[in-house]
Amino acid sequence: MNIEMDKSENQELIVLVSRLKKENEQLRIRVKELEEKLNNKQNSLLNSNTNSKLKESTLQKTETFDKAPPIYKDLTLAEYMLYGRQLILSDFGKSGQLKLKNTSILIVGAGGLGAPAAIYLAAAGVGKLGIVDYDKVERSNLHRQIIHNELREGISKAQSAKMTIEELNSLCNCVAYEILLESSNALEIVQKYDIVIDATDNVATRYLLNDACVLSGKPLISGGALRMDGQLTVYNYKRGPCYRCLFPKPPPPESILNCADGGILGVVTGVIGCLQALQAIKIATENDESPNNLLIFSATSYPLFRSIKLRSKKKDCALCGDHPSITRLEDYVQFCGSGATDKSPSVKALGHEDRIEPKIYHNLRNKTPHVLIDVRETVQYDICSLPNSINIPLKDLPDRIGEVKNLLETPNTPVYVICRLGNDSQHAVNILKTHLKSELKEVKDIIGGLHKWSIEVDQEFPIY
Amino acid sequence: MSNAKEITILYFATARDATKVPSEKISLPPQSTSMSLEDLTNLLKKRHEKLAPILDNSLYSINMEYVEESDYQTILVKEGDEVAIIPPVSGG
Repeated sequence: MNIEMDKSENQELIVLVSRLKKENEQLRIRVKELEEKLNNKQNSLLNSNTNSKLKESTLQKTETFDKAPPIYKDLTLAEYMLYGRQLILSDFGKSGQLKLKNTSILIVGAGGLGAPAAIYLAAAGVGKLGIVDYDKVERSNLHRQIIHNELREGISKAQSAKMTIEELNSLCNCVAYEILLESSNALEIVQKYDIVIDATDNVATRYLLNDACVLSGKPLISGGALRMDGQLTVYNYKRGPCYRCLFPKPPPPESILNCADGGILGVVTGVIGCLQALQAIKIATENDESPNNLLIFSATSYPLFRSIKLRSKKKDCALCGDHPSITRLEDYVQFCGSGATDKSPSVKALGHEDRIEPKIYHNLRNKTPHVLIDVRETVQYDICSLPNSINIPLKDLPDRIGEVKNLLETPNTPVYVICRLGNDSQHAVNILKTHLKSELKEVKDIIGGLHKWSIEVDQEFPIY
Repeated sequence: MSNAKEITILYFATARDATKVPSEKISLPPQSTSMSLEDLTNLLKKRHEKLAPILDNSLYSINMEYVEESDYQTILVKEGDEVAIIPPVSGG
């Protein structure tokens, strides 16, 4: 079986390498063509214009002039053609297009929200787009992070987003920041842009961005999405509230779900990301008459959207109120008690004696009578499970202790607990130990869960 | 077809996960036509054990208008009102 797995994996790699080679070859040809074209142009320019040297040097000067971008007073011929369908809108028009061209927007996060937001804003003709993301493209991102693709796996998300944008609209000046946004760098970056889009995936960065935007006076278009739900709010805009006005204290870390654990329907992030792009265009073109509001989207409810009317900012807000106590950026990881990423942290709740390696469990699986409890949610258990395992989701375990008790043939029957990544299974062992102290001789969690099982024991077992 | 005076509660995101219902009707105490938002919060915490920690970090709106936390004691929820419980959604 392993040999067959290796074969199919080899096959996959061969296909991938050949696809990348082909793309590389096409790009080389294109580069050569363009270089030739450029050479020809430069030569003809050199022949026809004796002042060419002077022109070249002024051109270089404007290119390196980064701090004060030029204010464009008109559109180029190429732009009329590209944006014709929106230029003819009476609510947008040429003045709207020019405002977009002169606007810079920072998108923090090139994930499920940032991907559609960046694509639409670049396509619409935003002059400068900054994209911040420290992460790399993974296969499990692609169902929602549609700015990346299969060939970009392992590449920086910020760079991958920039590549897509440059293919889509070369007129957009896209800057990729392959960094983790932190207190030490946030203000410097935020200050370079007119509008900021919060497309992040964690609470700590949300507070950081909020504070950076209030301190530097930038509107913050904040979107959030999880499972089938989404939210959209504009903070620090038109005397409206900031994130801290609405959520003065961060939620307890254990209550926060990320997309990896909670799940997310790709199109839900798409809906919110597109709305963020729309809101950015409305602010950039000064075409936003709506009062401050919080928009709630719920894919499974009717109506799909609800709008909550917000008040103006809170007078006693610690950040944007009349007497602020926060006047510079803080330590947000400490404030929130959770990291600036949405990765599931690896839990170490048990000692070595209460744990078992998947390989060792595999060896005793058919020899020793035992009970295997899978503590994942039932929807996950239904995706794939080990034969003879019993599904009791972690949250139901305290109420279903009696069931576990009935499963034990003798008091000495060992119990093993498994989950997806090996975190919940450790909590489950602790719950079992507390409730069945006298009945249980051995209860252990399988280290690394089904993920590790798949890698070390059965490569046919799906990783999801 | 009871004569009890009711209010409607809407649950969003994690609040809906905790209660397992998108909305529900709550009867006002007998003989009363309103209750404070603080009393309602306490009632909901008793009704749904898992909702309690979520309520501490959620926004409230009454009839789609946001209510500030400092008003929870004084603001009254009346018969027919719709109260929404909105926890922050921070994924992306």
